[in-house]
Amino acid sequence: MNNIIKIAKWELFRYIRSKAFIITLIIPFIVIIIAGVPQYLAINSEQPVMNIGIIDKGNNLFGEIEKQVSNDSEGKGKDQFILQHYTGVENNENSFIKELIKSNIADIVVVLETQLIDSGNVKFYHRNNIGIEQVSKVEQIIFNVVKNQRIENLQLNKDDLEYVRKNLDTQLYEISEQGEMEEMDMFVKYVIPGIFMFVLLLGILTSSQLLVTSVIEERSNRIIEILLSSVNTKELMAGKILGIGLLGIIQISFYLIIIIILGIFGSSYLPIELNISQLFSFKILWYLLFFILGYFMYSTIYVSLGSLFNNERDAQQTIGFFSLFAIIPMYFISFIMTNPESIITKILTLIPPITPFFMIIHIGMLSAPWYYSLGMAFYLILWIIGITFIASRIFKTAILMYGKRPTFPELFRWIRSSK
Amino acid sequence: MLKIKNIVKEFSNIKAVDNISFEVSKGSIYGLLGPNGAGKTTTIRMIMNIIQPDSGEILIGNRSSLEGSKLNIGYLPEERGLYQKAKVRETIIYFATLQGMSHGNASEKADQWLERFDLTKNENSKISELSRGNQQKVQFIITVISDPKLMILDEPFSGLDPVNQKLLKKILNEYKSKNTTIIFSTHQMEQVENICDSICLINKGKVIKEGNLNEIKNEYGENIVEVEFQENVKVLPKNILLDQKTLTNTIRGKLSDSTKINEMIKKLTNEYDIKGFSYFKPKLEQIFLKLVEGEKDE
Repeated sequence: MNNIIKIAKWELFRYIRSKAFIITLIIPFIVIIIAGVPQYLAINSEQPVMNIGIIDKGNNLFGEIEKQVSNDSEGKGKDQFILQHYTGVENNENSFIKELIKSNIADIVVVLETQLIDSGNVKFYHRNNIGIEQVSKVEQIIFNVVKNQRIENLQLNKDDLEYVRKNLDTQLYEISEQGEMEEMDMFVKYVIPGIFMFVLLLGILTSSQLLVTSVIEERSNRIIEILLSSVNTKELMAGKILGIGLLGIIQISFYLIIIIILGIFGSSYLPIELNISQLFSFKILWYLLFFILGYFMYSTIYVSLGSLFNNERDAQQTIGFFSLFAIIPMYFISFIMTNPESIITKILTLIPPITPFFMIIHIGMLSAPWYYSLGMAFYLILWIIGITFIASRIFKTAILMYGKRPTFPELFRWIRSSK
Repeated sequence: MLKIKNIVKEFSNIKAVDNISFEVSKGSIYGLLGPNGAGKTTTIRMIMNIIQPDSGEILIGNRSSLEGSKLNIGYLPEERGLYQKAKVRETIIYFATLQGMSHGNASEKADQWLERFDLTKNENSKISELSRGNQQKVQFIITVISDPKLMILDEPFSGLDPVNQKLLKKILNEYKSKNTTIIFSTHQMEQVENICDSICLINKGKVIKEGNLNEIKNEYGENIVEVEFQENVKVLPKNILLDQKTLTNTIRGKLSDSTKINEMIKKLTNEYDIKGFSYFKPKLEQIFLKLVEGEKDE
């Protein structure tokens, strides 16, 4: 046990100081920046000025539209519309509109047909390089004006008006199969399990590289022989897996601490509310459990894989194949959320390399009952024991084999052999 | 100290080690010699309990090498390598603690050894930044740092300059005087001629000769002598020396079976003015080749 801890400590410090780990640690921030920058730009950047021509056929709504636009345009980053009112063009409407757009006087021309309030009949003409989004915004402005006019026509008093315009105050509640009810929290239901899944995937992809590289280095440098003169193969393998497991825990803790700090000091800058107290809920223990089990299972596979190859280039293809299992769940998130009870979801959840990911979704997004989670944890532990048994036999024999890569019959022979 | 009894190891139906037995006494330096692929490394790996023999027994002291936990054996493998990105001092301490030393003791000993090998200035360098010879010194420190009672050194001198080879020999003699048992494994036999007390010559997984080095040399000696004279002597009587070759003032030849060295010297000093006399022991390599060729003839 003592040797396992010594090896784990050594491996942990080696990995922590590696460039690969530091890069992994900052990848989520890079992803957030890459995803967030366009969003930020879309919200905050200065929009180009759009010239809107309004041809109002007797509705007298231009003043109202102007008012609506000026209300909407307050503040930086909002759409900038310059409105121009045209009347008396009924005779040559089409050619007039074409001319307005062709000569760049207007980008969008809106024709408010007669009796618009009742008929709702509006025509939009725009240059073909104007985004449909801009057109929709103008459409929304016109609709708001028409809607207000309709409400006004009903001659409601001020209180009634406010009553009609009052927004919804939505609260979502979920009721489990056992009849337990709880308020839905975006942060708890999607963000936290999402982080655990993402970090698990990231951890698996990084640790696969680190572990395989480290075993290959020890093999090719013959460090393995010095190590095995002091420790046995089981201790060596366990130490490596424990080291990388601790690394995973450090990684997830790092992100959780950042979330806590953001929740305490920076929640007003964030698009969603970070309900930090929810972090300390019972669910987090389940996430951690499946995170650790997932990490251990993949690490065990990668340690034994490393012992089969003489150089990293040869190992890449096989690493890629196993890493694919970790990526599959990402493609299935929306499927299992909409079809949690489907037979495909159930079968996929039983495939061990996929189990930890799906269980995190099950627990977080679908509130799996505790006995199901516990059962699946035991199921996964049984698999890990089995995989460790096979992996340790392969590792023990392969670690000192040099030259030719073993064939499948040889691998089976090693697994069966107890020597 | 070490008893190897009839060990056999087979890989894919090829016998890498075929019924090898030998004994190494405490405080001696023992040479495990043979060409590449003879089975030396496999034998060493079995002694180290890295792999287990298919049959046979290995006793270290009175314990089987297979028993329980790993035994404290200092091991220097033939192909050297360490964690290239790790630092010198921390690497030494890591391996020392794996050998059972406390962290404090390991640090203290690491500093002493680094100083002795003139590596103190490199203690925080990465292994990859060291020269090959210095990397080898670090690896040697790792082998000896926990003062093991048994050391197994595979080609310990390769890659070292003469100054460091001399230092290494000095250190090994110090360990020998502290009753440490040392096993050398090498294919360069001339390296161990003046260090080993006993040897085991291995070829194709089998022992072809084992025992005290001097006795073996005497057994396979061809009684070649060289006599240097003060005056110019061209030839000696054939009853004294056979197959004579004459150089300036010097005659080299083989002693006839009936002639004893003492008698020969008496005869020569009575009749000639002698300047020098040399008796040539055979080189280990010559003995090995003779044995291997003998095997082929059989």
